[in-house]
Parts: sequence; structure tokens; C-alpha cells
Amino acid sequence: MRTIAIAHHKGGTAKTTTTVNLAAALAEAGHRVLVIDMDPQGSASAWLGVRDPELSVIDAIRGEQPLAHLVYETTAPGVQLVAASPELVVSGPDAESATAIGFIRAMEALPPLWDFVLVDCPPSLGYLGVAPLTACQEVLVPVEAHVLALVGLSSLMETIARARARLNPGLRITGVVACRVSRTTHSRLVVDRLAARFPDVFLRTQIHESVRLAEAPGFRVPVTLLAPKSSGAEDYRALAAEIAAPARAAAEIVPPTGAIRPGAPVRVRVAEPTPPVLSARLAAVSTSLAGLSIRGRPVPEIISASLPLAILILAAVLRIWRIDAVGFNTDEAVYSGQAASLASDPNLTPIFPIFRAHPLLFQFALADLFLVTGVSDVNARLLAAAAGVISVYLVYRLGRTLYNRPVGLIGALILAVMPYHVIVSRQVLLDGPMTMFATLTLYTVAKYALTGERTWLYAAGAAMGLTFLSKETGVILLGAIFAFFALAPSVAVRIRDLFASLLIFVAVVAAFPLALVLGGGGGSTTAQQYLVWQLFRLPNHTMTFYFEAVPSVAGPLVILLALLGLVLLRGKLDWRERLLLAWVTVVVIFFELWPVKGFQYLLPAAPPVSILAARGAIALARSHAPFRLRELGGGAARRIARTTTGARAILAGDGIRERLGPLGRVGSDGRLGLVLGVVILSMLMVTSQRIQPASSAQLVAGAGGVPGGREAGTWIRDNTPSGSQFMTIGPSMANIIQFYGHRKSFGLSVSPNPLKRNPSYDALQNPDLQIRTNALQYVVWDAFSAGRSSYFGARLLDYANRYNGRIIHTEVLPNPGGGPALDVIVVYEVGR
Amino acid sequence: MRSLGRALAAIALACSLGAGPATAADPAPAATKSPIQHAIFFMQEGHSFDNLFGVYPGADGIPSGTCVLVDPSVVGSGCAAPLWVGDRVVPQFDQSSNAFGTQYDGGKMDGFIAAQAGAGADARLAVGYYDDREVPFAWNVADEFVLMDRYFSSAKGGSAANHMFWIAAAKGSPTDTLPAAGYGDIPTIFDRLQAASISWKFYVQNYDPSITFRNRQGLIDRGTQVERVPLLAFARFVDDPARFSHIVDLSQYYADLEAGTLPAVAFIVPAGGGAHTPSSVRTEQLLAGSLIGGLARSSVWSSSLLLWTFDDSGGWFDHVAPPQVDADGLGFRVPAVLVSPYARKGYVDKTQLDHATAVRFITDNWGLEPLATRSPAPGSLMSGLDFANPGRPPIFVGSTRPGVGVRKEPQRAIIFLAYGAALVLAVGLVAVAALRTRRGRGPDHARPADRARRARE
Repeated sequence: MRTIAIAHHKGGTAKTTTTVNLAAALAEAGHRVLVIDMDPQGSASAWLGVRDPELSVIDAIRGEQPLAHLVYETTAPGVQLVAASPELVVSGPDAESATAIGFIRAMEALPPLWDFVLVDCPPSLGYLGVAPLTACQEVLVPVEAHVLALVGLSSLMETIARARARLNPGLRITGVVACRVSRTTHSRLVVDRLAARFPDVFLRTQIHESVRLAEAPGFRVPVTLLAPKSSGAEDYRALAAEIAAPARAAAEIVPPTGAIRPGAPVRVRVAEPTPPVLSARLAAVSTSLAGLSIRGRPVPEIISASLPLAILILAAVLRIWRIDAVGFNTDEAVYSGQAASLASDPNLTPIFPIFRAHPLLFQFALADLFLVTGVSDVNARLLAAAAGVISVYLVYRLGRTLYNRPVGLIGALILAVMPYHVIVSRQVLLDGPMTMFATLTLYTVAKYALTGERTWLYAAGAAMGLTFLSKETGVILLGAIFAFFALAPSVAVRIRDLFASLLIFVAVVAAFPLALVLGGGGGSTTAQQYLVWQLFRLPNHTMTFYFEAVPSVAGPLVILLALLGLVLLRGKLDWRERLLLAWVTVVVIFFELWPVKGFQYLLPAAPPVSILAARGAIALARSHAPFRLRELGGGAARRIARTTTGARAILAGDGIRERLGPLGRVGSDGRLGLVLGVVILSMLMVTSQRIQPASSAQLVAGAGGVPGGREAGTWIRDNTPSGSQFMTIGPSMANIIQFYGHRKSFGLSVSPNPLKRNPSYDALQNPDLQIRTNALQYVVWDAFSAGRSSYFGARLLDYANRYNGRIIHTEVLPNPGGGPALDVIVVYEVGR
Repeated sequence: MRSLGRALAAIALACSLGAGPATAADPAPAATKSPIQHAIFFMQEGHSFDNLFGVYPGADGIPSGTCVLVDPSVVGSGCAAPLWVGDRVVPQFDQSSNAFGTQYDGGKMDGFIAAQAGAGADARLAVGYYDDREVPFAWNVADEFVLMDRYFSSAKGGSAANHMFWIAAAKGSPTDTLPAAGYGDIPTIFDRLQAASISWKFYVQNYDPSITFRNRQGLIDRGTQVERVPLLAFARFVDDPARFSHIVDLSQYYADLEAGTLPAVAFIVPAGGGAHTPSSVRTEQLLAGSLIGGLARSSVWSSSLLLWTFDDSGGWFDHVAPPQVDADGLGFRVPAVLVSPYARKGYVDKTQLDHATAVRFITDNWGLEPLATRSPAPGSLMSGLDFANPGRPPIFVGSTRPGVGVRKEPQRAIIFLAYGAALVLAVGLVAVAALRTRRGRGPDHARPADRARRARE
């Protein structure tokens, strides 16, 4: 967050014009911008469409409200405003200093929710005019291209130098910008002189005289909206670009101290920042929070730069640690089987049909992998884990885009360790890749909302298409996007662009029906049967299933933080939160109402929840800061001293904090570190437990591998004749045996009625006949299926008994209650 | 002296082996010339090669344009092309040596319809064939293992003689029928095995131990058990309980497979009626299926060999004139399939073979004294076997033909193309959006804040 005071003690130097239009141009470029109007005339507030506001900056100055609660939306998308108040005009030095101190204090407590905070200063060098110079990191000086303007400039520079020396050592000059530049010779001469006097800070961009610029206040919109193609708009865009450019932000430009000789060029030295003692201490605290012990020293740059990478590595480690400890579950076996079939694997092609229920994007990617590495369960899981890690990265980008880097980093960290996401992305399921593309969609929509660049809207359609191609239920997120555009009128969208985006979605999604119809092989029949079956299928779980299964693994604290953030920052709910909430709500409500429920179905909601939680964590930490500072207060003088010191320290240390990313911000009050520490640790505990190989014979579908399944399947592959056929209790174990055993297997519980079964499954017609005619030779009992259906478990054993079943193999698990090992999978040979 | 010593040692060895109970469970395998420790010979009845494999691709089947004369003795009586039998009911065909003469017709092979004149209009069915709709299992076994298309029945005179060639490499009787007094002292392969203490069993489906050559007369169908189990016509096997106990019911075969007690040499015959017309060609496949399937999933698979064949042509047409090596035969070709982990996959063996091949394999493999007196000596199974490679893992051969009832495979290229194109289109669009923002069309849309931060770091 860069805080910039737009200052000039002379009136009519285009301060307000610059504040308003620069803010609009910055927002147009994708930055979050807050304008704080400190000019009692309130012209900036009026220009941005906020008239007679109920709340104004004075409420913050009086300590009644944090600044963050006074924010108004403006006519300019992406620009928010804290309005001015006539009450800023006070008389008497005591009242003035109280106002100034109140402002500085309010600025200290401002949460880092914006990229730029622009303070429109009053045209004076009194307390009110100096306060922003104390509270901001930078000062931007607009100068009218008229010789008279040059006169006041020297005294302004002196004031800035003084503020830096006594109040705000970190203050630097963003630049001096020439405004109202005309084509007259006079104007050109003034510009040349300015450039000569301030060679290092004079900005390249000049703001030219413009009728449109003068008209804009009357329409209460910035010139960038009134006349986007006008020279005024272009000038301010260029200014925004120059100010936001790295060179401008990087140089620590120090104004000269001492007297300034009029007419003499001001030499500006570029100095290395020296961290004050306090910020060094803060850095030490932050670093120790991060588990590093660099005491009293600035943290090396490499730590901050490598934070995203560190989070991704953590995400990867959690997703691949002992990834092959337990073999596939049934869904993993099916998707990998499909992919193997797509890759023409000789063993699995006859067993797994390519077309089953879902579109094939992930299976297609898996097949490409299998073509290179051969069919391998570990490689399949690694690909799924990669999708999980990419999702974490996308959350980082999304958080950074919507809010700022700390939100991105914390959001990514939360998703990286969230047990729910870790568990699901360790499995070869479609939900992981679907969530990855859904998050990409979310990111593209956010980029569109920020930039208005319609290519992002097209990209959103494309990403949405990939979401669908991963798993067709992703189509509900289309609803979330439409709901978002309907609920966030500040994000302008042209129907034509939206339609084009929809067409792109359809074009991408077309791969699904095209492959079905053109590919042949009965794919379209299967798809139709699947639809019919899905529509008339009975609910498989009760309405309370998700409430019982999901929050405990999504992290109750994460959900709490996300909600807390919404409450704490309720004054700031804008399109960003609407977008995230639309995403979460559509997913949760749809699957809650949809009769078929699965543990992993809510996964697409995890990324937006992580970002909301990150935002909540920061809000929670920040919300206490003003109160603590107020406790410090004693007499007026002590308050001045303390608050000024505090403000200086915090502002001066900002460079360090920027380096530290979120941890740097933690240091400012330590609370963020504490909150994050508790949340992350609590999730890590659950995660580390859940990624251990399960030792229980009770399994929730989609929650992990099936112990013993791979081992039984491999034994079957090595010890039974190829081409022999198997009967299991249900289709779940059948799929596992098919994948690992390379043997056709039939679930006894699969209905022989094609309308009553998942069309992906083959029913076993008349098992007695099959066994007697020697078409079926083996029967496999397993504890998991028997636990789910004791009826079919018993029927299966009936067949084993009736047809001379001989146990030829048993898989056991240690008994968690002690005692003899438990039989989990038993293979019988049947028939003569 | 030395040769005497060796002879004594051999006798001592024989005595020590004989002293212990010579059970099938004897763990010490006799020395064999090949990795085959278990040889199984299974004989069904009454099909010619062309009847089951006449249209099997890659084998010497019915030549195109074949037309069998309805009556060679009547000029202009016309001819009948081979026809697919399907599920038609087939009468019992004459398969005596008289019928052979008519069918063979001095090598012209044109009397197959005339020989069945007694069947009336159905005689034409003798020039019939089955394909994988009726015998999918046999075809699948041939696909997976070795099919022999020069395997002849040994005798032209029917079941009894062919079964005798199978176990003794000799006809054993001047007539085609079983001598009422039994076969006397003709040596059989089982005498050789018995002498060498090599384990053996003769498995009989629905075995009735009370039926022997002494009481078979008058038993209309069950008496044929003695034809199929010629040992029951040898007094020395019937009267010696030790030898007699080697003849057991077929259920013992599965029990032995399960227990790992299958003997070194096993002969298997079906119940009465076997595969003779008009019994069902489909059900006879099931028996073969369960025998071979049981073997595949047993512990002896890796050292086993199973020769599945048919005693005689059953009156069915075959187009290859059998070489006449003596007055008794050879008879027409019969189907024969060799199953073993060492069998070449999908191989068609063109070596001339007959039922005496079984005896030859046993004497060769276990180093026993040959039985055969016929000249030329019967061919060897070895060309269908490949001992240079490690044995194949067990394969369960089912009754579903490849491509039958199996889904049509979708075209993978189209699937790859469709999803690949979707992925490229979508990822491309996201990349374009990112690049456009970064490069900046008009205003600098790049992420200056990020770059600023990065630059400062």
C-alpha cells in the first residue's frame, strides 16, 4: 500500500483534479485506490459523487470510527473515498493540532486493503496541511505551468524537508507534475525550468489543458469516464503508469534539507533506507514468528521473494508425502482406468470403457502422462497433486489481484494446509482439477472486473469451459458468474462481451459432445443413460451430510475467520466480496439441494473461502490497533509525542514490512501472526493425521485410498490366470480389482435392471449360472463393502459357500483395538 | 561287471521307490526331458477337423469351392457344398470302418453323404461345419495356444480302436470292436509308468467302477465306458486293486488340482455319449473349459501340458485324405489343441500326428521304453512347444470371442484432438488476456504495483 499526499499550499494548482483523475486512472489499471479528502471544501468528494455524506474523515480524526469504516464507493469503479467535512476547519492551535494528531492516528490504523491511498490536502501549510505529510509515505506535488506557481514551490519543498527531518523520516517525493500545460511559449518555458530545477523528481508526464478535464467535475465523474479518449484522460493514465512504475516506487528520493536557493537546481540524492531501531525489532519479531532466528537484523530479501515458492513447496509436500502408501479407491481406479484405456494400455483397454459418466479433460491429461510413463497409480496421483498445487498458486494470484500480496500469501497458505483440499487433491479425482480451473475462472473474472479488459471476460469463458470439461457439475459456477454481474453493478459489463464469452465457453465445452458423437463407440448412448440414471437416482446421503463431513476438514477456524472478516469489514463489502461469496454460495447451495452428495463436491468453494479467511485474519489483527494506541494516550503532549513516534516508526519501517510480506505486517501488532499460527497449526494437525494411511475398515467415499485394495489386486494379477473373472460385493472393489488385477470384475450389488444402475457398471446376470458354466471363477469379499451393505456381503459369502469356495488370499490390517489382525479383503476360488 | 553293478543299482532304486506308497502326492518329480512335469491327455468324441475348425482362419480348413457328391456311384446325382450346422439337430452318423471306405473312396474323399444314406435327407448335414458361434471356446484356445491341423485319428474303425492307439499305440484287436475277453497282455503306457513308478491317473467322468469288459455286454450306453477306458478291458488292471485304484472319477481331477496332487500323467475321458452326434456341441465345450480353466488356476500350470483331442471324425466331413500307413488307418483328421505355458501362442502345427503321439510324448519326456510298433513312428508334439522361453503365466480362456459382445472402441484420435483443442484454445485465451494486460493496450494495464514491489525487494 502506497500512501501519497497530493500537496501544494497554493490553491488552484490542480490538486483535486490530480487526486480524482489519478485515482481513477490507477483504478483503471487494476489498483485498489482510496481517496481521503482532507480539503474542507470537499471538492474531491463532490467530484466523485459523494455529497452530504453521513460519515466523513472527521469521525476518524475524533477517534469515533476507524478510517476503514468511513469508506464510500464512488462514481469511479475501483476508487473508494473517505469524504471531507466542513468541520475540518477549526480555529486555534490546540484544536488544529488535535485534528492533525487524530488524522495521523487514523492513518496508522488503516488496514492495507488498498494499493494506493491518495490524500487530497488542503491548500495550506498549517497543521491540517502538514498532517498528511506526516502520515503518508510520499508526497506528489502538482504544479501549474505558470511562473507564479514556481514561487510557492520553494517554500513547499522546505516544508517537506522539515517534515522529513522532524516528523517523518521516510517521507519521499513521488514527483512534481506539471499541470495545465498549454501550447504557449510561456508554458513551455515554465516546464523546462521545472525540469531543470527538479531533474530527479520532475515527472515525464505532463497534464495538458483540457476542456473535458474542466467539464468533468460538473458530471461528477473523473475525466477517464467522462471522455475516456480525451487528452486529459490519456494524460492521467500516463501519470498513473509513471507513478506506479517500478523506478518511481523504488527510488528513495530524499528532498534536500536546508535553505533552497531560488532558481538553483535541487540536487536530490538517492539514499539507501536505514531501518530505524523499532522497525528492526518488528522485523525480528516477525522473523521469529516465521521460525527463523535473525535477531535485530533486516530480513534478507530472499525470504520475502521466496515466500510464494515456500508456500507452494509446503503445498506440494503435503500433497505428495507418502502418496503411494495406500492404493486407489474406486473412483481413482475408474478415472485412471479410463485414462489407461484412452492411452490404449493393452491390459486395461478391454476392461475400462473410455466413455463413462464425466467429460474427459483430466483423463485426457492422465492418458498423455501414461503414454510417456506407462500406467502408474503414483504418477496419476502426482498429476492430481500438481493440480492441487496450481490451485494454491492461483489463490495467491487471486488474493493479490483482488486485495494485495499479503491476502494472496495468507490465502494460499490457508489452502495449502487445508485438510479438505489436501485430502482431495491427493486423490485421482475430478474435483481437484475442476477446482483448479474454477479458481482460474475466478481469477479471470476478477481481472476483468479490475481492468475492464474484455479479453479477460473471454478468458473467463474459456476457463469456465475447462472447468466443465473437468467435471460437468462445474457448470453451476456459470450461475455464480451471472449472479456476480447482476449483484455488482459497479462492474460494468457489456451484454455483447458477455455473450461472446458465453460462446467461447460453448466452443470449449463442445469437445465433450464432439468426442462422444464423432469418437463413436457408443459414447453418446452411455452419456444419455447416465443422465437418465442421475436424474432419477435416490439421495445417497441426508441433508446434513456436508455439515457433518466438510467443516471439520475445511478448518472451522478458517470458516470463522472468513465470516469474521465479512463482519469486521462490513462497511467495505464491494464487488470483490460479492464475487467470492457468489462462488461459495452457489456451490454450497447447489450440492446441498442436489440429491447425490459426495465428500469432495464442495471443493470449488475452498479457494474463495481461503481468500475471505485471509482477509478476515488481517482485519482481525488490524481491528485492535487503534484501541491499543488510544490506551497509550495521556496528556496532549505525550499523545503527540507517542503517536508521532509510532507513526514515524511504522511508516519508516514500511519498506521493511513490504519486504516481509504478510509477516512484516504481523509485526505491526503481532496479532496476525498469532491468529495465523493458531489457524495454520490447527489445520496442519488435522492434515498430518488425514494423510496417514488409514487404519480403519470404515471409509468415507472420496476421503482416501482403500487399504489392501492395491495389494489384493496386485496379488490377483500375479496369481490368477489372465482372463479369469471376479465377483465382488459391490462395484467399488470391482473397479479396484479391475485396475490393479487386470481382471474383469462384477459387483454383485449392481442391479441387472439397466434403469436402476449406474450405466458405467456391468451387471452380473445370474451369478449361479456364471459360476456353474465356469465363466466366473473367483469371489472377493471386502470389509468396506460389507460394512456398507451387509446384505450383499452375506449373499456373496453364500455363493462362496455354495460353490466350494476356497480362500486363496487374504489381506489384513492391524486391529486398532489390539487383538488379531482384521481380514479386510478375502479372495475365494469358486466352482469346479 | 560295471554294467551289472549299474543294473543292480537300478533295481535297488526301483525297489526303494516301489517300497513306499506310490501315491500321486509323491513330492520327488521324476526326471523329465522338458520342463513338463504334468502331461494331461483329454479325448472327446466324434468330430472331424473340418467340422470344428473348417473355417478357422489360418488352418487347413475346407477349401473354397468344395462340393461333396451326393452319391459317387450315381453319375449326375449332384453335390452339396459344406453348410454351417448352427443349432440344427444332427442324426447319429455311421462311423464304422465300412463307412470310412465309402467316405474315403480310394482317396477321392467324396463319399461323406453317401456313407450316411441311412440318415435320409439329413445325410447332407455330414458335410456340415461349426464355427465360433457354437465352439467359441475351442477357437479361443486355438488362438491362445497351438492348433494341429495334421492330426489324424489313428484308426479308421471308430472309438475302441482309437482309444487303444491313445494308450497303447496299437489297435490291440483284429476287429474294430472290443474283444469280449479283453485285450490280454498288450503293453500300455500305464505299464511303463507303473514300472518306472511315475504317478498316473485315468479320470473318467461319471465313472462306474463296477462296469468292466466282463459285464459290459447288455449295458446299452454305459458299457461304452470300457471303450473309452480301455484299461477296464485289461484283467491285470481290473483285478489288481493297486492298479485299479488309478482309475478314478473326474471329480478327483479337480480335487487333485486343488490339493496340488495331480499325477505326472493324466488321461481324461468324458461320460458316455461324449461328443457323439446328436449330443450338443456346446455342452461338450463346457467340459473342456472347466478342465483347462481348472488347470490354469492350479499350482501345476507352470509345468503342465494338456492335449485336447477327439477320438474319431464321428462321420463328419473332412477334406484331407489320411495317409494309409497300414490296414487300420490312419483315420480322418480330428481337432487337436495343445495347451501349455510353453505352447506357442496362436500357432498352427502342421506336423503329422495321431493319437499315438500321446504315448510317444510320455516315453520321450520321462525316458521310458517306447511302445510303438507301427511305422512310421507317430509324430512329436515338440514343434508346438517352445522351451527356450520362460513359460507364460496362466491364462483363463473364456467363451467370448474377441470382438463378439465387446463394445466398439471409440476413435482415440478424435478424443485427443477434441480435448487437446479445447485445452489449447482455453489456455491460449487466458494467456492472450494476460499478455494484453501486461503489454498494455492504451493505458499501462501492467501490474505496476507488483513490479514496483518486486523492484523494491
